[in-house]
Parts: sequence; C-alpha cells; structure tokens
Amino acid sequence: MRLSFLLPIVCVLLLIRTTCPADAIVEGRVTLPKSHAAPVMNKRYEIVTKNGVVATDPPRAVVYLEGKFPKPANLPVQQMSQKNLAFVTPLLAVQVGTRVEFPNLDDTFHNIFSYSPAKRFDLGRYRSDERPIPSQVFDVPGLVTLHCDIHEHMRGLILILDTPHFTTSDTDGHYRLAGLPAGHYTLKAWVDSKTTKEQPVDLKNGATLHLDFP
Amino acid sequence: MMIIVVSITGLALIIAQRNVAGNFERNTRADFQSQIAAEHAARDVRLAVLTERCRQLVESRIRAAFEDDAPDLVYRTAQTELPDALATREGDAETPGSVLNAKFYRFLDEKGVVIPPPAENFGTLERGDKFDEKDLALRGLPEDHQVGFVVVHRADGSEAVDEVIATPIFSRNANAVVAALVIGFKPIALGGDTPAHGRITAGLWLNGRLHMPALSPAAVDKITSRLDGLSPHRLASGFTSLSEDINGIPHLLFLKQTNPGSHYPPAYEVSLYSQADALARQRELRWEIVGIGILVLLAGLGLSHILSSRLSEPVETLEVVSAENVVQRERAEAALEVTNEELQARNTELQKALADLEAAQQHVIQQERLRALGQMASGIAHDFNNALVPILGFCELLQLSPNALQDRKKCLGYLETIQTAAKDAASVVSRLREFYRANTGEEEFGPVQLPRLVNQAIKLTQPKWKDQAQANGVTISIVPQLNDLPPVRGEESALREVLTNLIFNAVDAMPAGGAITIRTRREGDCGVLEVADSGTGMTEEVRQRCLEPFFTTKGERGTGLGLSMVFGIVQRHEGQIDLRSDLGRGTSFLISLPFFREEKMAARANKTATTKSLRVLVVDDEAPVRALLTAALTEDGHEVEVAEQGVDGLRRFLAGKFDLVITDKAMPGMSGDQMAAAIKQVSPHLPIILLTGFGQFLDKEKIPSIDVLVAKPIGVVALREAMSEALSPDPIA
Repeated sequence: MRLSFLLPIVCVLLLIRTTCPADAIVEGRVTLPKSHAAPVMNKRYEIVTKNGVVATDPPRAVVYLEGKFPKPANLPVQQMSQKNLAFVTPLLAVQVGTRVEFPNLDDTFHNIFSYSPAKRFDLGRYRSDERPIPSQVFDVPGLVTLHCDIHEHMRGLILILDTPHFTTSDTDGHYRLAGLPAGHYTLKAWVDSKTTKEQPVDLKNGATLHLDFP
Repeated sequence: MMIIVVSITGLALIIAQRNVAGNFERNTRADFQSQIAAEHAARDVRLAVLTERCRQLVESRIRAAFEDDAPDLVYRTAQTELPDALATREGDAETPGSVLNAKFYRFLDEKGVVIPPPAENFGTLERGDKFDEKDLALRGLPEDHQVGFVVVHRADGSEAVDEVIATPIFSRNANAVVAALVIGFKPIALGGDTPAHGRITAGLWLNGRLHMPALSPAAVDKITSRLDGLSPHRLASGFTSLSEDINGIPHLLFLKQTNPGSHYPPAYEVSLYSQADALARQRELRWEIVGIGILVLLAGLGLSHILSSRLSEPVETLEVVSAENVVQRERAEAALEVTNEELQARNTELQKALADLEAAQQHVIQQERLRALGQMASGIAHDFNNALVPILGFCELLQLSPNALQDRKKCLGYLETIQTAAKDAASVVSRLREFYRANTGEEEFGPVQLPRLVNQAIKLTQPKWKDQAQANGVTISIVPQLNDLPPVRGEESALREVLTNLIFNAVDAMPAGGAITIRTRREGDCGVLEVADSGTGMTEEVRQRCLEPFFTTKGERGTGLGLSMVFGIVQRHEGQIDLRSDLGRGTSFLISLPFFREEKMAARANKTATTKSLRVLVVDDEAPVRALLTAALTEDGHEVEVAEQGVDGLRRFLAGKFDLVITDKAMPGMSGDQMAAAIKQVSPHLPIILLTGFGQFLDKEKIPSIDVLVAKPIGVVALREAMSEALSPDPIA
C-alpha cells in the first residue's frame, strides 16, 4: 500500500535527475584532523573544545558552495533534538532563514540558549510535552554554539550558510554535492571553528568533478 | 619591730601578687591564642566555601557568555545567576545573596580592568553600597582566585570593609583566562563587634588605615601610629605585640595577613584582646591577699597584746606599791619585748615550717602519682601482652594450619576468642581513666556469670596452658567444676583478667605439668571462684608477699604485677581474696565476690536504639571507622553522609541538612572540636557526638560545643547509647 504510494514519487524524482543533465556534481574527500579520542565502540558523536578550537568528535566537515543563488520562498523546518542529554545531531548545517525546532526527547528539563553573535536566544526550561516545539529562525550566517543551562556539558553547533548547496561529510571526510548549477564558484569546507578550507571550482553541466581538500 | 614585721608581710604579699599576675598573663595569652586559632579555622573554611561557590558560579552561563563572545550579556546573566548560586539552601534566599552575604559583583576584562555595569541596578546585590571601582581592578588576570579587601560606604552612611574574591574565567574557546568575576562579601564577623572583656575585637589594617569600628577614634589613631612604624618584613611575618594600652587598659595585639600571596593589596587582620577582665580578677585577688595579710597581722598583734597585758598586770601592781619597782618594771618590759620578738620569730618559723610541710606533701603526692603511673603503665603493658597472646596465637594457628580455615565452626570459634581478647585489650586501655579521674563511686558493674567467665578464660588462655606447654613437652589439664550460681556484681573484662592471671600463674607454677582445677560455688551472699593448681606451692615468705607489686619469683620473665593487679581488681569489686598454699602440693586462690542486685540495672534499661530515621554526618579521617559507623547507622535505618576531614565535613554540613553529627577528634587540618565549634555557630542546637581515642583524658565540660563524648573504640551498643543521649530533648533534665 505504502510502497505503491511512494513508487510514483521516486519515479518522478529519478526522472527529474535524469532529465536535468544541466546539474553538476562535485565529490571528493576532505582531509580531516585526527580524532581527539581513541575510538570507542558506540561512542557519541559530540562537540569538543580543545586548545580553543570547537569541532565535532569524530571530526566531520561541512562542504558548501559559495555564490549568489536565488532564495527559495519556503525552507523546510529542521530539527535538533535533545536525547540522552546530548544534541542530536550535534552539528547541523542550515540555509539562512531556516526555522530549527529543538524538541526535548528526554524525561528531564532542558533549557537551550545561545550567546553566539549569529543568533542569541534563550528558550527557557521545557519538557518533552512542550507544544509548540520551541524553535528559532536563523537568519544571519555564522556559527551558533548551543548550550543547555541545566546540563553544562551539552554542546550543539548550528552552521548557518548563505547557500542552498551544502552537505555534511562522513567521518572519513567523503562528501558529494549534486544538483549544482554550472559556473565559477568557491567550494568551501568548514572543518572546525577556526578552519575553513576553500578551493575555486569550475562546474560544468552533467559533469562530475572530483575535488579533494588536502 | 613592728615595722619589720609589716614590711616582711608586705614583701611576701608583693611576691605572691607577682606570681599571681604572671599566671594570669600566661592564661590570658593562651586564651587569646586559642580564640584566634579557632577564628582562623572558621575563616579558612568560609573562604574555602566561598571560593568553591565562585568557581561553580563561573562555570555557568557566565562562562558561556565570555566563550561565545557576548561580553554585553555578562552583567544581565550574572544578575539572574548570582542570587541563585549564592543562596545555600532553598527558601533561604529572601534577600539576594543574603546567605553568603554577597553584596556586589563586577567583571574584569582581559586587562584586569573593571567592565562597567550597563546600568545602575546591575552589579549590586544590595543597593546603596558605594566603593571605588579601581579598588577591584587587578594588574592582569590571575590564574587562580584572589582575595582582597575594599572599603565600602554603605547606604546608611557607615563605612565598612568588604572582602572580595576574584575568580578567573577560563574560556575553552580561547584557551585562556579571558575575564574574572569579582564578588564582594560582607566579611565574617571575627570576635565581637563591640569590645568585650575576654573577647577578641577584630579589625583590618588596609592600605595604611585601620578599620576597627568598635574602637574610639583616639584608640584607632594610637594603634595606627604603632602599626605605621612596622617594617614590611615585620608586617609579613605576623606577630603578637606584648601589650598596647588603650583607654588605660592593656591589650594584646595580633596582626596577620589575611590574603597572603594575593594580587590585591595586602590586608592584615588586627585582633585585640582586652586584658581588663584579667586585670580586674587580678585586682580582686590582690585585695584578697592584702586582706588575708592584714588579718594575719592583726591576729598576731592581738595575740601579743593579750600576752603582754597579762604579763604587765603584776608589774603595774608593783608600781603602785613601790617606786623602786620601776626598775623592775622596766626590766619586765624589756623582757616582754624580747618575748614578743621571740613570739614573732616563732611565728615566722612556724609559717615557714608549714610551707615546707606543704611543699613536701605536694612532692610526696607527686611522687606517689608518678610511681602509680609507672606501675599503671607497666601493668597495662603486661595486661595488653596477655590480651595479645590469644590474638597472636590464634592468628598464627589460622595461618599455619590450612585445615583450620576449612573448618568453619572451628574458625568462627577462634575468631570469637580473638574478638574477646581484643575487647579486653580495649578495656585495659580504658582503665587508664581510673588513674586520671577520681573514682566517682558509680562504676558500671553489671551482672557477671562466673561459670561462663571461667569457660571463656579457659579458651582464652589455651595457647599458654595447652599449646605452649605441649610444645615444651609438658601436659597441663584444666578441670572445671562449675556449680550454677547467681551472677556476681562486677566488670566482666576485669574479672576475666583476674582469671587469666591466675591461670597463667598456675601454669608457671607447674613446670612439670599437672592439673588446674577451677571451681565456682555459692557461699552466703557471695560467689566464690577457686583456682587450684597442683604445682610447686609457695613458701611462707612468698605467700606473705605475693600480692605486693613488683614481687616476683619468675625473675626476668615476671613483672611482679599480675597478682597485685588481681588483688586490686578484687578490692575494687568489694570482694575478698584468700590464698592457701602447701609447698610441693600446690596453691589455690579463693576469690569471693558479692552477688549482683537488681536495682542497679534499671538505670540503663531506657537506653534503646533510636527509632527515628536521622540524617547523620560522619566525619573521620580513618576509613575503617567511617565504614563501621556507616554500616551501623545504616543498619539502624539512618541516612549517612561521610567526610574525611573537618573542612570537608563543614562544607557538607553547610550544603545539607542534618539531625546529628558524629566526628572524630584528632584529624589532620581542622580538628573535630574546632569543626564542632564552627557548626555550633551556625546551628547551636544540632547535636554533636565527638569520638576520641583520648576520651579518658577529656572532660565534656571543657568542650562546650560537644553534646556527647565517646571513647574509641566504639561499639554498636555504645554508639546507640551515645545517640540517644545526644538526642534526648534536654540533656540537663
């Protein structure tokens, strides 16, 4: 029943992809710094601050294409939940103007706040039954550090980007950005609060560009 | 003549008065120093609590604001965070920051300069306090907290000195200290705010000014000029000045830097201790001495007057009869004078003799005490060794024969014996008390079952009469012939010691082996215990002297104390000791002890386990003691929190709510009684039990902050008794 309902949508999506040879693809690998901690089974993916650098552990990069792109009228709402006294996922990249909801999935209170210049807010104390789910619109590009007033150790990062074309790499640094317009742009890779790598790219329709960030 | 007598008396009075004055000075000095030490301890603890609070406080939104580069938000954040964080317990925070007496706060930027508050109502927790902002600044940011003092003008126009603590704020994002939070606290009131006799008046010497509101301006000036003349080196070392006359009253003065090593300007705590009280007491005594002296003089004069008038009567008659008798009368008068002089001389001699006698008596008493102490010490060593024999013996047995460990029943039996012996060892030590305290006549004698005691003693001494003897190739048997009889009145461990000693003696008396017969039987109002051996017996001389201390037939091996102690214990029990000995056939000791009568039991019956569940704070530096107390208290349904040190204990006390505190006395750092004193300042009605290994030498009355004093080692029953005593609604009634 469900599958038969989804099937046409998938077909349409595939059709769009195949019928849009204008899209360019860029993929490759970002060289990430070595993980701070020894690998531990089921270790939480978290935000760590070391020597004045805020990063995810294990490290991941956010790769995005910088340039002037038309602003979409309606951006989908994103979520950053709190579960087991941690932000899930701890690093969220969003386009400028996105509303992010912060649902509390724990049995305890949380109180999310940010003092970051890109967005200052304080959601107050709330529990899982809070409705509407507390949310914020992020309309200035930059990095926002999320704190919980009750749980000092909790950290979350929201990277607000002025582009619709971005992706988060896996922990090996592999990324793939599809559906890009052709032209000359700068491709950037955010690695941590102090490091953003960049390379010029020349994107051609229908072509797949392989680009590694050393 | 009179002049001589009067001047001698006067001289004696002056010397006596000097002596008294010297004693007083020593006493006041000691009192002053102990007061200062206690107050410093309290101050240190409070400072530890405050700095810890400040540290926690900074690890909050305040740090987040600095880490995330939002310095404009720090005051707003602090204004909401501070009152919460500075209140100790919920419901206590009626006024912001009232509990820890926080008054104001400021932030320092990365250069150590004060970041100005964004509006007037920020940065203050109690309105109206004015101070120079520059006083809070530091030259650069510190790595660790800094303590300083700042002159503050209160809203009511008065001037005060507040204590400030600067806490560095470390930003992980910048990986450096980026700011500091300075909080101003009302300092702890050391001593009295008003000068009182026998109490310390406290003040602060800061930037060349003395802040001591309790003193008059003139007195402040006087001390200021005194302190002004001190070299920085002298200031840094801390010293006690002999005396400082203020308003004509000598005072002891003490100076100590309260913030050594701080980046803030040095502040010195000034403590003044009025000797007026001591002086008054001294004056009183002086008058007493003078009064007594005058009385003695008057009595002497009166006596000589009576004597001389009696002697002069016939002379006067003679004078009427004949003028020739004038010569005679003159002679008589001269004789009288001589008599009077002699009388005075005799009187002085007598007084000297009396003084000598008194000194001699004191000397003898002291000698006697020393001798008794020596005896006591060796006696204790002796008893202690006896108690150790079964402990060591059975431990060795358990270690050497693995089979013994397999046999659970046997093993438990051994352990029980070891426990009994250990308890005896503990009671041996507790007997020291008897030496230091006069016998109150209320010794805790309970009912003792002699037959049971005999069986215990036989087991206890087994290593000696069985194992050791067998090792020497000798067979000794013990034959108990025990008749049931009512319990006798006594101290079980002491009586067990009597038996142990008698058995040891019997074994020593049978170098070729033999049998020891132990009997119990009833004789009138007494229970009789008989220990008979089939050994060598005693000669008449030995029999006569064997109960004397230090008399021994064992040469180097014996102390000569065993039997004398037996004798002492039996006497203490109001019992009788009888000794029959036939040379070559053996000796028997007969000890009769009065039966126990019921009425003495009633007093102890009402001491039961405390039924209410309590929150108990246990402070002891020894882990085993903590574990034992925790186990025992938890078993009785109480909630237990433990601390290892006085300071830690005090911190826990401040952080929680407790119904009872149990603390060790001797601990590193702050001792138990110091902690108790600090606790009582906050909660005067919280009962405190002090455990101590020196319990025998302490008097509860001398430690007012303690409700119950318990000597270590403490058992579960003793703990319960102490708790019910400490928690009884009115200990005096």
